[in-house]
Amino acid sequence: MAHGAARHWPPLWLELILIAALAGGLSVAMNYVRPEPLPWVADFAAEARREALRKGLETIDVYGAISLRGRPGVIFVDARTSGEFALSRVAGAKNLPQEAIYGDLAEAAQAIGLGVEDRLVVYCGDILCDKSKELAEALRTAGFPYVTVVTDGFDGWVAAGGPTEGGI
Amino acid sequence: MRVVYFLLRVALGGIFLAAAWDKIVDPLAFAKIIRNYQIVPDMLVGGVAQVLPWIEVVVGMCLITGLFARGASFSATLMMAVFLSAMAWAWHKGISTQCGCFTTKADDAISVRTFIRDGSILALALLVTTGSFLGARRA
Repeated sequence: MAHGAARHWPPLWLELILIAALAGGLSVAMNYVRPEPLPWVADFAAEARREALRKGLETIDVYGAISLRGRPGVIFVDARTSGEFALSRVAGAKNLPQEAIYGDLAEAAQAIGLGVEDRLVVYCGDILCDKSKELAEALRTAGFPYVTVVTDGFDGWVAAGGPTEGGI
Repeated sequence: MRVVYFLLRVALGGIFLAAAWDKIVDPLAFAKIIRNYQIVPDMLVGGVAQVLPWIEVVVGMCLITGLFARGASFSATLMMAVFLSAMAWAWHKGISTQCGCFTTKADDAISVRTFIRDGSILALALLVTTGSFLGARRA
């Protein structure tokens, strides 16, 4: 090779395409070998609603939930842990951690002031969390017929500007 | 000067590799974080959550090996600019979410610290990009 010969660089666009193609190929391969592949195209909000409906639960989006707040007989129930609840929560919500479903749920619910005539609006962390659905299902079985799940979760509530109290 | 450029490039590559690990291990948790930003349409969240960490891996490997250094450093700069913009958007909207930068666990919420950290990485990526393009021009 002649001294000082120019090194040939591929054009920038080709480098970018090769990087993207390699990353795309690796992600497809990795998802293929995963025990539980993640869907490439999925409507998480619709899936959350479908899952709640499969359990026979009534659902509400965050804006509907905000409009319910303050109405007589409506109680917001936070299904997250007591630590998460202490940090930040829907203003006026009561904490009934999902773990309570493994004990005497009816007693735990009555202990925090939930009545069988109340409309319980249950939420957990985000749209993909299951705690609200599990707690709502168990509450209904325990004799609380008016249970609604907020599908967007607390993150959706905060993002929609719903009133909060606690750490935030 | 070449040694400094080499060290910065390798360091940036290492940062990108480190950032990808948690997201590859738990793509669902990463998808939740992406969704919380409310920027990517719901239908695309799963795809983005899977491809983005592998772009970080490929960019990291390219930066470390020097292969496609211009494309990799340019991609790194672009990604950091996008990540910082997304954080600024979430901050502005009052969205309380995890950064999703280095971990998918709930101990890296968007804060001044995450802005300073990612801003520093963006500055590093800009330096490396400049070095890559100058190096290619001289070659």
